[in-house]
Amino acid sequence: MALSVGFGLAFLIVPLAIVMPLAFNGGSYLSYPLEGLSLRWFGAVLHNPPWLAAIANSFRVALGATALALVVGGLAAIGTMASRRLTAIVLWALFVSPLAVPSIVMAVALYFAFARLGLNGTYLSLVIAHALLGAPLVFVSVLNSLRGLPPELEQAAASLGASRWMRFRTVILPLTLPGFLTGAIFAFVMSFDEVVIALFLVSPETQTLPIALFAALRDRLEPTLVVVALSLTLLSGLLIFALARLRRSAAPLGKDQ
Amino acid sequence: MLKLFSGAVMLAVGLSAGAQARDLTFASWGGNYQDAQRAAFFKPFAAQKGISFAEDTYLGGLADIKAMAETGQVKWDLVMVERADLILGCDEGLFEKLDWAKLGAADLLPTAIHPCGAGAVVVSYGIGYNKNGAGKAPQTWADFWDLKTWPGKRGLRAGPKMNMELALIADGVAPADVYKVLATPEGVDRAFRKLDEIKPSLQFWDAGAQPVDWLSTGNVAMSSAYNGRISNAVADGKPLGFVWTNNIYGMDSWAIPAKAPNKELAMEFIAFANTPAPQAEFPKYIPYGTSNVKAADLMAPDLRANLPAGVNMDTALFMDDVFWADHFDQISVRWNNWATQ
Amino acid sequence: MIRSKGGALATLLLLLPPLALYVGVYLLPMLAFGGASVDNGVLGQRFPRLAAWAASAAPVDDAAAVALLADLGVLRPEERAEAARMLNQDQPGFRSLIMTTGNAAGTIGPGLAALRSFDARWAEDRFWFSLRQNLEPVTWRHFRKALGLGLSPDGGITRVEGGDIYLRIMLRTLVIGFEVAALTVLIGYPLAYAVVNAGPRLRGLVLGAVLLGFWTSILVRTTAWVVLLQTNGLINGLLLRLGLVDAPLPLIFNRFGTVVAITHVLLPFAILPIVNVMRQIPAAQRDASRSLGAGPIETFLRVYLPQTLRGVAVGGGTVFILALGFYVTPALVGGPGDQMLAYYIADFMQKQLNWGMASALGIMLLAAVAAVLALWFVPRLFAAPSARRP
Repeated sequence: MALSVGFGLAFLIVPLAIVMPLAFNGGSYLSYPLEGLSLRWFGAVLHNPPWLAAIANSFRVALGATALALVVGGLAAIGTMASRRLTAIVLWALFVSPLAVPSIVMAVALYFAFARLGLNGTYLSLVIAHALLGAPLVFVSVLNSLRGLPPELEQAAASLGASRWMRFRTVILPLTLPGFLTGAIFAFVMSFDEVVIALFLVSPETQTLPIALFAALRDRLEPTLVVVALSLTLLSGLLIFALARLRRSAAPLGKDQ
Repeated sequence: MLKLFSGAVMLAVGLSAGAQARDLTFASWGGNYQDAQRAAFFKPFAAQKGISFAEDTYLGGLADIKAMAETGQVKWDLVMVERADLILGCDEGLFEKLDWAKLGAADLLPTAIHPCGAGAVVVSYGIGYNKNGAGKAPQTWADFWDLKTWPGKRGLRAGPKMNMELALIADGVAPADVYKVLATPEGVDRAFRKLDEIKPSLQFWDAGAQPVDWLSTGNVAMSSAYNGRISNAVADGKPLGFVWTNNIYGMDSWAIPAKAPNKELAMEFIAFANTPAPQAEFPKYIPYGTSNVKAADLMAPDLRANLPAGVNMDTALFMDDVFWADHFDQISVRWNNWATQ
Repeated sequence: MIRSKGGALATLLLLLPPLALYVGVYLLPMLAFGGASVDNGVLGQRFPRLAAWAASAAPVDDAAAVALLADLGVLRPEERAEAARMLNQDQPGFRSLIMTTGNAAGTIGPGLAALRSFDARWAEDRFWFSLRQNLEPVTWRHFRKALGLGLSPDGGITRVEGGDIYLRIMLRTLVIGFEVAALTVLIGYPLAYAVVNAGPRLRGLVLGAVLLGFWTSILVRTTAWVVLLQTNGLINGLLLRLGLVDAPLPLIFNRFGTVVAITHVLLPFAILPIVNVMRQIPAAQRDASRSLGAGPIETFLRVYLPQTLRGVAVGGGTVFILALGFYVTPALVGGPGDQMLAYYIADFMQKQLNWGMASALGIMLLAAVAAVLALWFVPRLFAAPSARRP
């Protein structure tokens, strides 16, 4: 058992641990041995406008997509929760289903659709497409926290005369906030890391970071790309940390998490 | 509720509103190739006109260009296309017709002039190899097939184009007869039989920079490659070489996607790109041939020696794009079938 | 949430925005995409006279030639070129035949003989047969091609020699998906076990590694494997130095590299469901089993493992479904024999300008996913409550 855990851990970590030091490679190869240590590739990224623009685009798209996914996924979850059992099952299947559609199929379908609307190559097309992938994640996590709520809470609020909106704002939303936030983080990272759909929908102005990475990967394997990767991983690390903190603070509410 | 909803929607819309009027946009093949074009053509032209420009990468094919034409959302003003796509796209109205009277056709190679495109870059496809690899340097396509003398993997561009031709050349067909042979079913069989001999050693690349990476890291012993990519790698200190014997060459052309918003500016760019001065700059960054015959006079002799020009092209084969426009569908089905077995 | 009178309306209002988005930019685009597989609008509309001939049982005669020339004559050059390209997908050489004939349509005398003397290829049956089959507004030729089928002159369906390429690619896609699913479960199970049952240090380490992988860009992880596995990469260097091999092993641009890289990318999706199930198993159970005299291995095999199989099934199934759609990873670390169906969908879409084929293959891929969902997940979903054996 210990051996297989060790193997699994090595399998997970070693590739990442191996590739990261290449960001500091003095030479221009993406291979070992390192030709001296240098920060030149960090400088190359910082002074290269396309990388910076791609990073800015990724944030812009991911924030927009997360916002839209929160509204859509959140409303879907609340609506599904309030539906009858059979309807709820159908709605659940519908709202979760984008996760099962192969991204290439989604990409081609959206490419056609947005082409028809004249939206290809715009931020809006990317935001909507990524929101469509983020919404199921928000939906699932909000639904989970809604299920964890004791129904008496809302009944109590209702018996005190609180209106539907009032009950939502003062009781449900605060209690399901961790669900919304978890969903938001998932949706954000999903958008930030999405390649295939963006590949079909970006234009030069809207190029996102994964697309810039993909182009760099096929173009020339230089340490710049590891520099960007390292920064992304650090960002992910921060998000994981935030997520862990959230989980902890949400623990008393989550029933069976 | 409403406030929350509308706030989020405003946020989404606000973040997604992009710039409306856009810069002159070039789409080309990325890597050193596009770097060279930027230095020799895009920047000088933009400086001359006092404009800014944007760039995109393009990986061939007509799908993007067709979608642009159908929707009127044309994101490129100029695109560097291969001749086969130029011919197909021009027939289907996907590119603007050029007004050659204004474009300075006088000193251009005759093959550079097309109703929808201005030939700009002559590219040779030949054998790249790592000089630190086995023994002596390979000389011919037949050596590419010699797995005993030069053990190791072989890289080829994905898809049948050019590979069918070079397989026949390796099998002893004279370059002048290649397309005659390839137009017959027996000729296609012969090419595939030849490719079968090295199939277990083959791996295929999509982007022109990949063979350089593979050769420098020793993933392959030899790979077909574009001459300029190899030369640039050599300039970077990588121990690579290029074989000119029986190279296959093609010409990439500037074309303007139909209904491009900056069409007039794009025409002016093509006129600029046809002149000798920037063309003589271009090979300093990447050693590809150019379309204006006067450009060679402005180049240093040692630079000319590394270009697809002069003696290097004595045994070369010009890729027949009209042949491929007709036969690509059929041969590519067979190719996919063969490659996946 | 409490349901009340008038609640139905409110619920509907709540559901309206998400439903609108799902219908507008998900269901409708998917339908339109599916429609492209049978849409033959271009060929169906541009040859009205010839289509009338094709619909009748008339043989290839003067009337057919006249109809063809009349149709070609009125088409704009770019319409003709588009139609020619589509016909070329069915019959090689058709493009140039249509283009040359179309350019000269006004000058060719009426009748079949004149047409054949203009270009001898019009004497070949295959071109006329292809025209006869492909002028309806709806076509099944893309699905036939995807399934390796063709039409015989008498209208029957035949198998095309070597035409089963896309079926073989589908099979390859399923095989890779299965290999990856099996590997993720094998590697993931002990990790999941450690997450649930190990001390806080090891648990934190494993959880951190899983989450770090989860959140690191697919592209970066794929690049990492390139660095590790390439011919002169670290693993080969290590093997050579240890004297275990004489020459570098081919570890990348083949099936091995593809499966390893996809496994790495998808591993977290297998681990998390297994963890969820393991967490629900009370530790007291094991103690009970042990106190009844069962050894640790027997306890694990007879008490613990059976209860976790549901997590294994969900994790493995999820990985399998996700792996079926992989495109980027095989494109970067696979060889030509390792490209999965998604690669060909993108190729038809972007390079070959054959949207019908892209759509037909996309439907094939979706059908595979739907089958897995229906056969693997749905039964487990409904069996869930009773699956918990004591």
